[in-house]
Amino acid sequence: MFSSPEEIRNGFAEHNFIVDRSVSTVVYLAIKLGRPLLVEGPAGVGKTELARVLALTTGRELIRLQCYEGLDESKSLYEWNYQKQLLRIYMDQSQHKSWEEIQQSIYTEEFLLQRPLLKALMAGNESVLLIDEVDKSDEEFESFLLEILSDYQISIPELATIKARHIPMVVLTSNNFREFGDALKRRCIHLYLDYPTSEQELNIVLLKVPGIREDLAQKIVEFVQAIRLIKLKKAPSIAETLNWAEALLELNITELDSEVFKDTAGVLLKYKSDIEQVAAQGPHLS
Amino acid sequence: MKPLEERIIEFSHRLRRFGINVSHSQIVDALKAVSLVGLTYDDFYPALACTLIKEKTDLSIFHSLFRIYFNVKSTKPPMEDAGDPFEDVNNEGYDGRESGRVEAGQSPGVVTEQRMKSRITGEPYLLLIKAVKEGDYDMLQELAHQAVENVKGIHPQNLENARELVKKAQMSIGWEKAMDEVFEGVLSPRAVFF
Repeated sequence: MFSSPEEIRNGFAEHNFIVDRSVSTVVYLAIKLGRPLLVEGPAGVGKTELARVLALTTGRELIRLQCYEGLDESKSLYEWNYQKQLLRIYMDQSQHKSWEEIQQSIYTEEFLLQRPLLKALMAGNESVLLIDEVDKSDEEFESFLLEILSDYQISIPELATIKARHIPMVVLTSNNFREFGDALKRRCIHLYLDYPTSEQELNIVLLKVPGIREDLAQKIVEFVQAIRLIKLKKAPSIAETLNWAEALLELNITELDSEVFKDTAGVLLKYKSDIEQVAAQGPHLS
Repeated sequence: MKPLEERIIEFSHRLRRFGINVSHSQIVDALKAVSLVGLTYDDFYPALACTLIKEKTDLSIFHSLFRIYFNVKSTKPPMEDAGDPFEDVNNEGYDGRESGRVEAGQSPGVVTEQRMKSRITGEPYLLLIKAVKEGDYDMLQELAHQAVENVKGIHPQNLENARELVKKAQMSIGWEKAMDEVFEGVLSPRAVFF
C-alpha cells in the first residue's frame, strides 16, 4: 500500500490535509506494524480528520465508533434484531415448524445487526476503523476493546467465531478526558498531534481559503497563534481559523484591526468571556 | 561503536532507569520501527517516540535522553509538543480544559513557588538528581548546555526563584560542593542551572 512515509504525506496533501514528516512517519509505522494508532492532542487539531483522510487516501471505507459513557457491546459490536426474529417465529409457527427448526432459522446473519466493530472485523482490509474519543468510554468497554484489538476476533455464541482475515486499520483518538489503561496504550502506536506551527497554519489557510490575500492570511494566523497562548475556555482550533479567514474574505476585509476583531470575534471564539479576555490581553491591533 | 540494535535496547533500559515503563514488546516494536524507516533524524526520532513512549508527560524526558544518547545536535524535537524541558516558566502552558480554574491559594498569572516547583520538579530536575547520584558526566554536561542556552528566555524574577529551588535541591542531596568541583574552570556554577 504505502511504501514510505513520504507517500502518506503526499497522499494526505492531495486531500488537503497537511502533516509533518514525523506525523506521516508514525502513521506509516502503525500501518506497517499492524498496530492501532492512538492519536492524542487538544480538541480541534484534526485527530478525527486524520482518520477520515487516511480512509480517503487508501480508498477504504471509514467505519466510525463514537465512544461515550455507557457504550456497551450491543451498541459497538452486534445485536440481534429481536423484532424481526419474533416475526419469523410467528411465521414459522403458523407453518408448524419444530422448535429446532425455528431456532436454526432465527440465528442467522439475516437477523444480526452489525455494529461498527463487527463491521470492521468483517470488512478486514477494506476499512479504516475509527474509535473516536476512546477516553470517554468506561473501563469495562476498554478491556473489551483491548481483547478485540489483540485477537481481531469475536465469537457470537449462537452463530460462529468471526476472525478478521486482514487486520483492519484502526485509529483511536483521545482528548485525555480520562486516563485510560496501560494495557490498551501498550497495544498502540502513539501519535501526539498539536496545533500547527505558524508556517503550517498559514499553508493550511492559503490552501483551504482560496482567494485570500497572503498578507491578511499571515496576520490572521499570527493573531490566532498568539491567542492560543492565552488561557481560554476554548482555544481556537484550525477549523475556527479557517472559518474566520473565510468570514473576513467574505466581508472584503483587508486589514485586521480591533474594530474588525470586535465584529467578527464570534466566528473565532465561542465564549463571551474568551472574547473579552482576548480583547484585553490579546495581541495589539490598531 | 555498538551495533544499532544494542544501542536502542540500551537506550530503552536507560528510559526505564528514569522511571519510564518500557515493556519488552515495546522494545521489539521500536527495533522493527527503526528497521522500517531508517536513521534519518526526522524518522528515527518519531519511530522511537511512538513505540517507546506511552504517556505524553514522558516525552520531554525522552527528548532529553535521546539527545544525549544519540548525540543529536538539533535542539528542537520534530514533534513540537514534546516540549522544551527548560521552557520559559512564565509560559504556564495552555490547556483548554484547565482554563479558568485557579487552584486554591494561587492567583492567576503570578508565578508562585508552588507553580515554580511544578515546573522545575519535572523531568530536567529528575535528570539532574539522577545524573548527580550516578556520576553521569555526559548527562550533566548536556543539562548544563541546555541551561545555558535557555538562560536568555527566562524572566529575571523567575530566574531568582528557579535558582533558589535548584539550590534547595542541591543541598537536599548534599551536592553543592561537588558541583563547584565538577564545573570549576569549565562553566561558572551559576550558569550551569538557569
